[in-house]
Amino acid sequence: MSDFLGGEYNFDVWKPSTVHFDFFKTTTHAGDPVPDFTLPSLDGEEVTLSKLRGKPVMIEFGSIT
Amino acid sequence: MDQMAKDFAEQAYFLFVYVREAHPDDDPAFPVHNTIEQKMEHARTMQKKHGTPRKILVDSLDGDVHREFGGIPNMSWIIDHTGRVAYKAGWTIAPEIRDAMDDAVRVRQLKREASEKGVNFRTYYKESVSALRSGRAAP
Repeated sequence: MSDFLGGEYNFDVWKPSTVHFDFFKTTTHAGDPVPDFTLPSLDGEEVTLSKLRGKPVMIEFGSIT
Repeated sequence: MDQMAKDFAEQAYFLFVYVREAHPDDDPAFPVHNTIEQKMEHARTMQKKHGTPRKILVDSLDGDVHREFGGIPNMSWIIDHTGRVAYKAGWTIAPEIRDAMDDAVRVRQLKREASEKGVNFRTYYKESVSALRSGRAAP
């Protein structure tokens, strides 16, 4: 399994230390080119962020719990 | 957020990236992900539960995209029409997102007028921090 900043990315029990605000501040800043990605959608297609150029894209990250 | 996705349907794309369970110890029905199949299944369950009109993407088991963007459980990003970050926040606050989306749409129009009619514009940078009441210990 994958490590993320000193802990398992997929953890069993939430702790405040699993939220890395300082790291978040270092990821791509406003005004800079966004890292591209391709991910599968539940519709069965592959979605590539860079193919959506021309209109703004709002991306929310989340889970059930 | 779902109403917003409908309101902006002609002007913007809205994506939801399903990532690791933030509180897998809260609900035995949604424990930590051990396989990508399980993660896809949880995402389908979430889609049925909430019926969102937004396109739901599923991150890799190891959270490659989530980690690259910062790994915050319920963060939001807005990418402008040219592929640059317009807004990033470590929490999803609908009124803030609506304001930022209005801004992204306005900036797109402004830049279009600049290229078509020679209108001048100036880009500026801003940052902010806020807080809200929480039922959990502060990170």
